[in-house]
Order: sequence, then structure tokens, then C-alpha cells
Amino acid sequence: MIELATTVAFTIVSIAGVLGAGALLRARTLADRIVALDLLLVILVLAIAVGAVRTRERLYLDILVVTSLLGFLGTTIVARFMERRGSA
Amino acid sequence: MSARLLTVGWLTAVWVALWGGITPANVLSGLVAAGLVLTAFPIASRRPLRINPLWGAVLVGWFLAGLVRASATVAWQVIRPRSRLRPTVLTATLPALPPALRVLMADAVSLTPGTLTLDLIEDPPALHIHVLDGATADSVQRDVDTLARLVQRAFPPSGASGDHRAAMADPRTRPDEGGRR
Amino acid sequence: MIDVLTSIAVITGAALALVAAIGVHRLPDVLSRMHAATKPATLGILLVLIGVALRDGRLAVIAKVALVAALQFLTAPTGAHMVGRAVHRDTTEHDDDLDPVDGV
Repeated sequence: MIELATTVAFTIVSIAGVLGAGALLRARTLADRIVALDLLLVILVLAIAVGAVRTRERLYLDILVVTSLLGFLGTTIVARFMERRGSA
Repeated sequence: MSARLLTVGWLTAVWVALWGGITPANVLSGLVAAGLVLTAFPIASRRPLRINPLWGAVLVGWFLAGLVRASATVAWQVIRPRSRLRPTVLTATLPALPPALRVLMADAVSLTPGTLTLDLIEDPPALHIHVLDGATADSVQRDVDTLARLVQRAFPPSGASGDHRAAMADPRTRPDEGGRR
Repeated sequence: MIDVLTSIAVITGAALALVAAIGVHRLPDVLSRMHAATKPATLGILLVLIGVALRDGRLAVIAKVALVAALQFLTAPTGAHMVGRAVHRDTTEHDDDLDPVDGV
């Protein structure tokens, strides 16, 4: 049951990841790139969480904490940089 | 002082949760870490917010319901072929709230249907809001007012001054205008 | 029963991530795309985290899941807000991409 559900979820998340990577490649402005990277990061966090459901490995939860924090830090720093530089 | 203890308490709780087990060593090192954090960043120990548990629960419920509706709405807007979107930027005014609650309002507006907070301005306190589906300024203002009332009930004004305005007027609690430029 | 709920939560969460990705492709301007990238994605992560908690009922796991969920709620809108503000302050002089758009 869980095997099947997580396999389906992994498939859906993979498609989302491919679309996210496409959005990143297509992005023409810095703001678009941040939105695409943010999306990719959310997809990554979600995929790790699906992995945690599948394997019951508790280490994944620690990885989730660190990944979300680092992602937030990255987005915030680039947004600050954009404001300072004044070009989206 | 009790505010300080409260902050040490929840910081320690977070620390213990991160280590994943309640052992004497975890709790002790958590207390030390929380103390260090408070010494390094004294801002965290300032002015406690009083929480009304009942209205707090209502606020959380409203927030989760809003997030579900927002996701469904965005999903529909994304999937529907040839939809007519009317993205605009509006300004909604906020009541006098301490900075932490204004940030909470900005966050909540971002996670509720059709609206995304772009900027938090002061004097007078207001939000710049990006609207996706052509909602009117009136309806957005109504939603923000409802949310503001909920927030005010969940976090009733504390202290002898008895008013959120007092927190606004306290120069130490004013954010530094985002520190830009 | 718990397995069924976990499966529903995980698959719905994954589907919401897909909705976010499609939205980022289809919506017309950066700020609109941020709606898609923020809301469904946050709910999606929340659902999968509920799945993790359902699957493994140990208190230590639930505490950490709650921590990650709280982190998402604090950081996702704040990150969107930071980017939105940067874009907004940058485009208020020449706001041609904020005009009404027909079709996506």
C-alpha cells in the first residue's frame, strides 16, 4: 500500500521537478529564476518527505530541517541582493 | 523576566525536538544554548505576547482553511484553460498592531486565497497586496479586517498600558524600515 | 486505515507540488507565478509531513515533523514576501507586466 502510494507520489514529484527545471531554464529575469529555484527546493523537500514516509528513516527528518532553513536563507539573501541592486 | 523564562522554555523545547529525545543531557545543553541565544540576540526576550488559547485555535483553524481554499483556487486557476486573470496591486490598511503581529498578518495574507503580500508599510500601517483574480479593494480590505480582528482576539493587548498602540509607540519595538538603502 | 490516510496525504501532497510547477509555467507574470509557487506547495509539504507523522507515531518523530511544518509556515510566505517586495519596488515605475491579462 505505502510502497505503491509513495511510488505514485515519487512519479508525480519527478514530473513536477522536470517542469521546475524547465521553468528555471526558461526564466529570463533574476526574479523568475528565484521563483523557479524556490519551487525546485520545495519539490526537493517534498520528495525527501515522501522518502521519509516510504523508508521510515528518521535521518530524513533532520535533512528536511536543514534543507528548509538553507532554502529560506538563500531566497532571502538573493531578494535582499535584488533590492540593493535594483533590477528584477 | 518571566518572558525570558518563557523564551528559554520554548527554545529548549525546539532543541530537544531536534535531538529527538528527552534526556538530561539534551535538556541541559538546550538550556545553555537558549541562554546563549538570548544573550547574543536580546531582541528575542522582549515584550511577551499574551495568547488567548480559544481564539488562537480559531485563528489556526481559519488559517488552515484559508490555505486549503487558496491551494484549490490556485490549482483551478492554473488548470482551467484560457482563464481570465486580472492581476493587480492593492493597498489594505491595518489596525495598530505590534510589529510581530503585523508580520503575522502579512504571512497570513500570503497564504490565503488570491492574495500575496508584497510590502509592509508604516505610518499609517498598511499592506501592499498582489491580487491574482481581480478581487476588489473592498473585498480584500474586508478579508484583512476579519483577519485583523481574529489576530487581536488571539493576542489580546498585554501590560498596564492595555493597548496595542502602546507597543507601536515604543521606539524600541519599531522595525528599522527594513534597513534598506 | 492509517495506511490509506497516509497514502492519500502523500499523493495529494505530490499532486499539489505538480500544480505549483504547472502554475509557474502557465501564469503570466512573476508575481502571479509566486501565488502558484507559495500556496499549493506549502499545503503539499504539510500533507506529506502529516503522512510522515501518521506512518511513524513516535513522539520524537511527531515533534520533529511539527517543527519542520512550523518552519515551512514561517519561511514560505516570508520568502515570497521578500521576493515580491523586491519585484514590486522594482516595477512600480514601469509596471507594464501588472496589466490585466487575457488567457494564460
